[in-house]
Amino acid sequence: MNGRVDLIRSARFRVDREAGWKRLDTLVSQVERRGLRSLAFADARDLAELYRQAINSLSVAREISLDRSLLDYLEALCCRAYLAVYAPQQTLRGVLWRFISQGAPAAVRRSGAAIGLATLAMTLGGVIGFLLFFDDPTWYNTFVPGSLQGGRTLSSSRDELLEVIYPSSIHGSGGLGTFASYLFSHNTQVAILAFSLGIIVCVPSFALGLYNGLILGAFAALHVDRGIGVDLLGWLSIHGVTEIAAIIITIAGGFRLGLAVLFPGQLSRRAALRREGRDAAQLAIVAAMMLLVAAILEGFARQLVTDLAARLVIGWGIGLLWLAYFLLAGRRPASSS
Amino acid sequence: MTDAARPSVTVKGARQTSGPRLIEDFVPPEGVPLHFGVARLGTRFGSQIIDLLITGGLCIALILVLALSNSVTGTTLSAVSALLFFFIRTPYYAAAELVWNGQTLGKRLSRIRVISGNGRSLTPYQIVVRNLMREVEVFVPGTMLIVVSELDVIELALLLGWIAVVIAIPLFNRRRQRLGDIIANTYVIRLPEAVLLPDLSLSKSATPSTERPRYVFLPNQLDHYGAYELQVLEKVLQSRPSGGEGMLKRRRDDLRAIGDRIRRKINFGDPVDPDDEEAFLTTFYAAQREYLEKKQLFGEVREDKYHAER
Repeated sequence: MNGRVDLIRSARFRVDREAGWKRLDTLVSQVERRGLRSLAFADARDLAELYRQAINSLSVAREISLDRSLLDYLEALCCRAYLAVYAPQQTLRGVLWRFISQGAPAAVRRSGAAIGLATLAMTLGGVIGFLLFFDDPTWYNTFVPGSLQGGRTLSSSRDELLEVIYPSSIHGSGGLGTFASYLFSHNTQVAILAFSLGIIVCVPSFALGLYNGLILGAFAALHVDRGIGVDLLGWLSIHGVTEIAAIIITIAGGFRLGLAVLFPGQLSRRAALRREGRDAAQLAIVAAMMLLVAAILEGFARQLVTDLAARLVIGWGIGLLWLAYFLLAGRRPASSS
Repeated sequence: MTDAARPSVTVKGARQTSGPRLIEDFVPPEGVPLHFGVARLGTRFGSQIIDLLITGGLCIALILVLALSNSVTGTTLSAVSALLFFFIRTPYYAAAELVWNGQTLGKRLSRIRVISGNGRSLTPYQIVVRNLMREVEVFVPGTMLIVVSELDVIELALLLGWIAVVIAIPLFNRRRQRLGDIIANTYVIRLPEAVLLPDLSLSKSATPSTERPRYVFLPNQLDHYGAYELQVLEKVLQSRPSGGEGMLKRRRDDLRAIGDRIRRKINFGDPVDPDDEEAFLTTFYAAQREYLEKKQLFGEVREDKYHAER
């Protein structure tokens, strides 16, 4: 290399550093093919070192070199090395555990106001639906869609309603199973819609909460009218406590998104949405977990447990467990919030 | 002319010709901006289809098992399958992007990736958010399209409006972010490919270290062009014909035409042998680059041949 003095400056710059880039290139290729774990200790150490050198080279080359092919190469190399060095480091298990033990309950605790608002929407709907039914029972047909009625129409007698609540035989649960899964998918849809449409300044979430409340209210009124209100409570409780709580939580998630759009405060709307989205997403996952639990309860426990007291105890007991989990889990003096 | 308004780093870092769309304000923790190419919407759509086939295939397999076991009735099956699809699909996207550095299998095959907009590594939160929003953007309207005949007019209008919004957001967005990307602050980029071409100024014809240089350029002859012309010339010289007599001849003719123009413009008097055209252009490239780089070091950046008019 005695000709090096003759080289122009940027070519000399390249000759001096090219070996390092080539080595970085091979390391990055290895990471891309087989993952960061496949690197030996010395290689991993070199990767970080060489990445910083390459970034440095890129910065200098942009100032001193007009060699397009060199600039493109360094740009691409640095991008690839960046992707290799700043890959997500968490394992799936660690992420799940941290979320369940700390993230989820903390997010629920932070969303107290939104949850209150969602509960208000549901309760309001429920009360209105209940009162309207006694005003004029035909409201029932307005509020409760045919697919949800599942044979429980205005003309159903007390015994027909009781037959649904306490199925006489396990064998006859085929129809009920269908109904249960329908109800479940209906509620899942409501949950997804309420969460996602909340971004349109909360209105759809509130409306959906209200509407869901109306259905429940009218439904309850029908049974109270036939004098079997407590039996319905048992039938609903066993999974409904979990399920309705899940819907309330998704609506609350939607509210947080909508509130970010409505009142972004000092931030831009986009930044506010991003900040609130953090908790909203956690709420959505919590709700998905709860819906899953509710589905299991609905699919098995409701058909197997037909005793009123047992239904109440299981339903509200699990509700209490959720409450305890949300209020108590993951509280640590030095927890990052 | 508009190039002059942009900061010089951007111009030099970005491809000026019709390359991929670039993300220009991405700064990793090291503080040097990197320019990732934005993935094309067509590519993203393709990778989406692949992922859909994978999750859909898995789901169909499970449903077949369920149906063959004869334990559930037909109507339950349809409700269960919708749920099953949801509970397979969403975790698949999130888990795949977490484990494979922001790539699902479809993204892997189409060589695109998700990166975090703040320059740090992708967090699980970002991955979950962008994939939950996908449910809202794509699959909820998608499922509703299936039952489109049961919808009334208002619902249909809402559905179509929502679909229009979902499609419009990435189309009218410089970085092709969909709604989920905006909320999670992520970009979808194409994987860069690094190919190191040889340095032209080091090629034999440009630096004859032993013999006397055949072509010598005076400073006033190098005053005509700027970085843009230099890099166009570099591109022409770097392109290697893939073979074929016709291709080789076309390249020779092109080089000849370029050489003639340059010599006319810079008043280069000496004759150049047609077979020696490549050597002439390479020598000129090296001299011109050295000249411009020296100017740049002293603070005079010449973007293109109009530099004198500014």
